Amino acid sequence: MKTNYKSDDELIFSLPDYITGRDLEKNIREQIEERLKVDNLFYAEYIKIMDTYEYMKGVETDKAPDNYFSSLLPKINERIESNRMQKSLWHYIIGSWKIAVPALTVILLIMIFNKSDKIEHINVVPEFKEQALMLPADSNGKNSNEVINNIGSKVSESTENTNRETVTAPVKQKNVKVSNEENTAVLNESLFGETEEEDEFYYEDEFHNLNENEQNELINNLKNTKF
Amino acid sequence: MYITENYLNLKLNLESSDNELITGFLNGENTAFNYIVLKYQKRIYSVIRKMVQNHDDADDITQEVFVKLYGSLKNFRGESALFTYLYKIAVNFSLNHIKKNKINRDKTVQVENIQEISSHDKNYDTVYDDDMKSRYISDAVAGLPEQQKLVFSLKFYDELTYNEISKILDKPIGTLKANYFHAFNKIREHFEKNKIQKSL
Repeated sequence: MKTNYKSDDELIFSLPDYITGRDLEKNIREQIEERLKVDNLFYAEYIKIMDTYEYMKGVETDKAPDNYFSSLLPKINERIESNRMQKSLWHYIIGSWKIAVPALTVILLIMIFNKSDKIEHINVVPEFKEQALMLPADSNGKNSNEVINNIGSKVSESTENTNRETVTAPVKQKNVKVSNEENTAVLNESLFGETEEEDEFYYEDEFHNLNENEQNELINNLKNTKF
Repeated sequence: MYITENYLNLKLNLESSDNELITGFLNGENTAFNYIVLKYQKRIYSVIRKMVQNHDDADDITQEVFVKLYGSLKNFRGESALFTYLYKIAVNFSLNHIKKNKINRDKTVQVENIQEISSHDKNYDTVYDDDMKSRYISDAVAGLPEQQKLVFSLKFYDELTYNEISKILDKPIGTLKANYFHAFNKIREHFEKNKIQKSL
C-alpha cells in the first residue's frame, strides 16, 4: 500500500509505540495525534496496527514445559562442572605434550638414522652384478674372463636372491669377494690350498714323491677305474 | 570495581541488584551466580525460544548462555548492564544456531497453518481460545525475518526500550523502529492470509 508517509517515516514507525504507550517522546505523540485527525490513510494504518496489537495483547506464546525452570539451574551447574573437567583434562594433555613432543622427536630421529644405515648396505650389494670379472688367460689358452663372467653371472643371480639375507647376515658373503681395485675374483675357497690351482700343484708334488713302481701302480689303477 | 569493602555485610537473594550479585560472584560466593540464573532464566529462555521455535534447542542454548556468562563474568567490566550483556550472548547464540541449522520456518509455518485453518474453516470465529491463539501468534512471529523477529520479541514481549535493544543488537534506533513497525505489518498480513483475525 502506497502512502504519502515518506516524509513522515518517524511518525508512522512510531505508531506501534503510540499504541502500546511505551518508549515514545512527547513531541512525537503530539504529532501523531494531530496527524490522525487529518490523514485518513494514516488513521487506517493506525487501526490495523491497533487491531493486531489488541489481538496479540496478553497472549503468552512459546511457554516452557511445566517445572522446566526449576530444573534448569542444576543442569547449568552440571554443564559448568563438566566444562571445568574437560578444561582441566585439556590442560593435562597440553602439559604432557611438553614432554611427549621432544621424546617422540628423539625416537623418530633414531629410527630415521637406523633406516638410512640399512638403505646404504642394500645399495652396495647390487654393484656386484655390474663388475666385469677380469682374470688372465689360463694355461690352456682359454680366456678365463669368459669362464669367470659366466660363473659371476650365476653367482650374482644367486646373490640377488640372497640379497636380503646378505643385509641381515653379511658374513655369508665370505664365499664371494669382489675387489674393485684388482678386478680379480676368488671363488670357492679350497680345503687344502688357497685355490684350485694350488690344489693341482699339491697333487703333482705328491705324485713325484712316489717311487716308480708306486707311480705305475697308481696309473694302472686310474686306467682301470676309467676315471 | 565490584569488590566492595563491606561485601561481607551483603545478604544475597533474588531481590539483590545485578551489581551486588556480580560482586558476590567475584568474591567467591557460589550462590551469587545461582541468583543471576534464577533472576534471568525466564527472560533469556523466552527470547531464545522465539528465535529458535523449539523447546529442546531453546533449552540447550539457554544453558550455553549461562555457562558462557559463568566463564566470562570474572572479566565483566560493567560497561553495560548485566541483562544487556546476557541478552547479547543469547541473541548471538540464537543467530549462530539458526545459521548452523539453516532453519527455514517460513515454509513449514505456512503449510501447518493452512492445514489447521481449513479444519476449523466452518467456525473460525470460535477458534480464539488461548491455546490456538497462542499457536497462531507464535507461528506469525516465527515467520518474521530474523532481525524483525528479534526486535519484535525484545520490544513487544520483553518491553525493552529502543536504547536497550540498540545496545544489544548494535543497530541504530531508527532502524529498530522501522523493524518493529514492519514486524507488526507482517504479522497482520499473516493473520489476514490465514483468516485468523476476524476484524481484519
